[in-house]
This record gives sequence, structure tokens and C-alpha cells, in this order.
Amino acid sequence: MDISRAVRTVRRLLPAILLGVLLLVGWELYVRISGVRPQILPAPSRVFAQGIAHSSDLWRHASATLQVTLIGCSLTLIVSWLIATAVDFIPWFRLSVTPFLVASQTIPIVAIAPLMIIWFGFGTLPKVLVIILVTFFPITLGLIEGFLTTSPTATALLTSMGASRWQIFYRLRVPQAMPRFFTSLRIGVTYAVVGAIFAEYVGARAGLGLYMSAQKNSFRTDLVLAAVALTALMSVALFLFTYLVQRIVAPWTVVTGKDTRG
Amino acid sequence: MSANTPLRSAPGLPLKISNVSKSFATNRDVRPVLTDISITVNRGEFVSLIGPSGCGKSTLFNILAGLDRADSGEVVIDGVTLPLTGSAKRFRHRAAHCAYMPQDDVLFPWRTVLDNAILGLQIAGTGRAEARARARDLFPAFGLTGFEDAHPEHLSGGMRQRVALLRTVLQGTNTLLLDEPFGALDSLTRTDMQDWLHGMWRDMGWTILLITHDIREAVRLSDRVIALTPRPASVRGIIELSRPRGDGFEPSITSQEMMRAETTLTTLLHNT
Ligand SMILES: Nc1ncnc2c1ncn2[C@@H]1O[C@H](COP(=O)(O)OP(=O)(O)OP(=O)(O)O)[C@@H](O)[C@H]1O
Ligand SMILES: [Mg+2]
Repeated sequence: MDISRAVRTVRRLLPAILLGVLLLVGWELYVRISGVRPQILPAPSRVFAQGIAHSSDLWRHASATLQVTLIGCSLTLIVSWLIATAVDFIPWFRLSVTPFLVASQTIPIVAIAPLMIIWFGFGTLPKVLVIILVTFFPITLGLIEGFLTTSPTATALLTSMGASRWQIFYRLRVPQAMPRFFTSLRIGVTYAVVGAIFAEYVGARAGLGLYMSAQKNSFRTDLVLAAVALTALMSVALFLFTYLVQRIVAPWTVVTGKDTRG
Repeated sequence: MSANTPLRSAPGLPLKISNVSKSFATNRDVRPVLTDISITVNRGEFVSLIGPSGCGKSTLFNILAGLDRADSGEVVIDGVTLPLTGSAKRFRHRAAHCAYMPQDDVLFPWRTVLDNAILGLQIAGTGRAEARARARDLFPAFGLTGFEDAHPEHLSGGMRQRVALLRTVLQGTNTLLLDEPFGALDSLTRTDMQDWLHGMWRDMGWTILLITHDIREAVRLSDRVIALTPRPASVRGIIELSRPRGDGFEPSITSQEMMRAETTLTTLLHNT
């Protein structure tokens, strides 16, 4: 990365950083001035200090959460690509699958997560299933709609060249779907973290969700908030990671400065 | 087929359209778009189709390119008759005798200029390395040297059209179907591109069927101009332009002859 780009990146991030610092300072001042008890509302400095003090614990749970999140997202990617591809090739499949896609989103996680624990125990499986349930819809839908953005003229061109349906799919429809796919992937990964935390909260052997639940029960508000901050960091990191992947997989969709062609 | 002979020679007329008709079924009625069109294009000829907007020019090209089927009539390309019915796959296979350049340039932003050019070859099963080598040989003639690895969004309108044309030519067919290739260009670039296309046509021995809205463009470029009626399109008139083969571009046709042809065409197209 050359210097001018680094400068530009910093300048882009500056407003967000400033706002964050401002909020933290306000919070710190409020706690100090009002004298509220740390069990109710700890100051950010305390959250930070306690977080550092318990960092090995936090790290152990965070890596468990990260692991189920990544496994869940990977499985979702496989399932989404399979279903979206099938839908793209078989028109009636779209009609039969869409109601279930939508229905999968109306399932209340609050109700289903405990059931998953009852059915599949405290291991990785129920968390992964919850993650798939919450991420699968946006990603599959993004892919299906991405394929549909393909222009009829481009399809006609390939057809006139004698292309098979399969060639049209992987030479045209897949690259065409990339912008939407990555947008939906970004939505997906943020849902995934929330889903993982929730599933762990209900019952787990490790994970930030479990940690939050345990600390809350012993009134360690500061450690709950430290875990929350770590969760937020993780989401942001995954979010940024999708941009990195996009830059590698579909560089033409991230051309800066100039509009990419739709 | 070597890189230097991109054109396949085959027996028979490159293109013979006989009594082709086509209509589209809309919600309410049947809309006739082509009625009884007959056009013959000889090898190495440059023929323009000119007609009002929406008269059915692109529909005719779609039929020639195997994207759509005529209701009746016959299309023979290089001695091979396009079936009016039959499976789509067989149809496409037959249709691969015409190289079709759509109205938009349809360059893929995810491909470099070089890789856009070889699309047709790849679809036909040519390996990427060989396809690229074949394309590279033609880059100088197309004025694209140095832009092999550029992406299409960095090209000017004229260059984009040349890439699209290179992609069309590389399909190695006898007959090029160009649907308003210069429609989106500014008039200066347009004239340059016309001269360039004309030179290429002369040097490479292409057979070209070109759609245009522009009377002057048709007259400047063609051996023959076919004027179509408003929808449903039928042939309203044909103008032959004597253009001595092998001559330079400008002197081959007198400005007087050009003006006469333009006037005739204008009358043909405007008297409905
Ligand atoms: N699939 C279709 N279904 C119904 N009507 C169609 C279809 N395709 C084309 N048409 C109609 O056929 C007519 C001819 O269309 P076509 O695109 O061939 O015109 P064109 O001469 O190429 O026009 P332009 O000069 O604007 O490109 C138009 O009126 C159009 O509405
Ligand atoms: Mg048209």
C-alpha cells in the first residue's frame, strides 16, 4: 500500500474514529460525575482494564465463537451456491423454493435456538445450524437476484456464439452476480456473529455468548461489555474481510474512482 | 486454421435470405415484424440495411444469428439452411456460421481487452493460450496494441467498438452481422471508424451485413444499400453503388454519385 492510499484510508476512517472517541469520553465523564455503581454501568476505562485482565479467558471464548461463525458461514456458502445455481437452471425450482426461503426467515431464533440445544446438545452443531438459518436467506437471495441482473443482450451474444446454458452460467451469470453476492455476504457475516452469540447464550461449552451469560449472572457488567466490544470488533473484522476477498475474487467490482458498469 | 487466415472459406453464397417472415405474439394480437424479406449477399460484399427505428432490423439479425426463428421463408448461410424448427442446440450449432455484433458492445468488465476479444473462441472450445495468441496477431490491425491488459471501462467509445469487432471477427466465420456498430459514437469518431472499418473490410476480405440508421454511413461504406419499410419490414428498394474493388476509400465513389444515392434513399425512406 503506497502512502497516498494509506493517507486516504485514514482520512476516510477519521470521522468514525472521532465519533467513537467522543461517545467513549461522554460515557466516561457521565460515569465519573454521576457516581453510578460499576455493577450497573462501568466506565469504559474499567471495561477496558478488566477486559485486558481477563484477556486469556476472553480470547478463548472469542476463538470458539469465531470458529463456529466461520464454519457456519462456509456451510452457508456451499448451500447457498447449490440452491441458487439450481434455481437459476430450473425455473420451477425457484417457485417451489422461494416460500421456504422466506419462511426460514420468519422462524424466531429465540424459539428455535433452545430447541436446537435440546436436539443436538451443547456442541458445535446447534450453533452452526443457527448460523446457517440466519445467513442462508440473504446470501441465497443475493445470488439468485445477482444472476438475474444479467443483460439479455449479453446472453444473446453468448448464445449466438453457440454457448451452452452452462457456459452462459459460468462465463456470464456468475461474474455478473458478484456485486450482489458480496453485498449479501456482508449482511450474512454480520448476522452470523449475532446468531452465534445468541446460540451460545442459550447454552454452550464455550463462546462469547456463554461468557456474557455467565458474567451477567455474577453481575460482572464490565466483563459483559468487554465481550460485547470484542463481538463488535469481530463483526467489523469479518465485514472488512469480505472486502478483501472481493478485491481478490472480483476486482472489477471494486474499481474505485470510476463507476463500474452495471 | 492459422492465425493469419481468420476467415473460413466455404462453398455457396455467404448469405441468402428468401421470403422470410416473422411476427411476435403480443398479449392482444399478433404483431407482424418482417414480411417476405429476400436478401442475397455475395462473398466479400458490404451490404447495409437501413430502415426506420423499430422496423425489425435487429429481429432479422437475431434470426440470422440463430437467436430467433423465422415463421416462414428460408435462410441459407454458407450453403447451410437454418432450420425453422428443431432443437435449440442444433439451431445454435447451425447459427455459428454468422458472427454477430450486437447493438451494444457488450464488453465484460471482468475481462481484459484481450480476454474479451477471445470470448467467442473460448466458447467454441479453443484453449485460452491459443486463443490469446490468435487475438494478439490481430491487435495491431485493430489499433489496440498496448491495450491487451486494459479493462474495457478505460477505453474510448471507438476503441470499445473495435474490441467488440475484433471479438466478432475472431469467431472465424465468413459473415459479419454488425448491428449499428457506430450508433453511440460522436460524429468525428464515427467517421474515423467508418474509414477504418472500410479499410479493414477491403484488406481482410470480410463479408459484411451492416444495420444503420444513417443514410450517409450506408452510402459511404456499402456496395449495396437495402432500404426497409417501417414495421412490418419489407424491402422497399435496393441501391447499388459502383465501388471499384481494391481502390482507396475516398476516390472510389464520386461525391456526385454519393449525393444521388443519398437523395434516392431519403426519398425511399420518407415516402411511406
Ligand atoms: N420478443 C418480442 N416480442 C414482441 N415484440 C417484439 C419482440 N422483439 C421485438 N419486438 C418488436 O418488433 C419490432 C422490431 O424490433 P427490432 O428490435 O427488430 O427493431 P429495429 O429495427 O432493430 O429497431 P432499432 O432501429 O430501434 O434498433 C419492434 O416494434 C419491437 O417492439
Ligand atoms: Mg435494433
